[in-house]
Amino acid sequence: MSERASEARGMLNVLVVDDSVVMRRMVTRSLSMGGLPVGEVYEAGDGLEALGVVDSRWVDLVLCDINMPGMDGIEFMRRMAANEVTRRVPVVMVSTERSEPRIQELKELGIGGYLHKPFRPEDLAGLVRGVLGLESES
Amino acid sequence: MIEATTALLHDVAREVLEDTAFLMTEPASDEVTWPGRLTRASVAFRGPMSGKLSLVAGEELLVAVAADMLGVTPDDDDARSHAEAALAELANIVAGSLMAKLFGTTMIVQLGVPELSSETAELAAAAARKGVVRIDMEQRPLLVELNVQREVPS
Repeated sequence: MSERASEARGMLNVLVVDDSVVMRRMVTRSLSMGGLPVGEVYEAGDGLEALGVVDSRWVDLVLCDINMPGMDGIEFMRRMAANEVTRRVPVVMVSTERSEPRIQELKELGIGGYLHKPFRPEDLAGLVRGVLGLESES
Repeated sequence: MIEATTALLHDVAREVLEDTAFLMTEPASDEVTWPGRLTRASVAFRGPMSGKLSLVAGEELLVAVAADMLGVTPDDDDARSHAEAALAELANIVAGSLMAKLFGTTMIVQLGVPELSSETAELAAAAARKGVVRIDMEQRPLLVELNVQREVPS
């Protein structure tokens, strides 16, 4: 990962992983609407592409879908958890997936939170604030 | 059973449209305007049963949905270029919500990647088929169809 230039600015560098470009834009917009200090936004269409971003950029938060063509969100989390550095990056899953066995597996791999689609922008922003330990806007 | 599933389809699709695309739905009316060209987004599923969920809509509605999801106006180029992708994501979300309501959350249901296709002539037949749900938004129709193909052997 590169140096954390965003820290001094108090901004969050975010990686949004989803095979739907529309959903990637919705997730990003929800963070901004929720008043979160979003800095650089990186996008990836599957887990493999996301691992490439995490390896080359400083990322403060990953928002990741589960069901994606190519590498899915569960394998992505396995790879993140297996690496000493990337396992510390907070990951929030945002997915249509509701199967408890899968969500339990992801919790055991260390996800910071889980939100199912459809979601309201304020729900995502609130969850992210909780995961990152940020104070609420109000 | 069919009536119960149809009611569930209607409720789930309406909830997703209102939460995801911020579109207020209306009861289906006779004054609806059927568009000439339609797009179908289908999501296959495999769990306790297998099958396919499809959403079908015309371009005008798709552009409106994409605009709302992206936070732009309908005349923005982004809304038009992402119209079909928006329908695909809506189908994905409706399928996920529906599976949880049909089969619960204790078992794994595998959802496929949304597939897009165009159709025109099928519209009337699809709208008339029993079990197809129609939801209107400002007199623009969206069709929701669930096909259960077979039970997956345990």
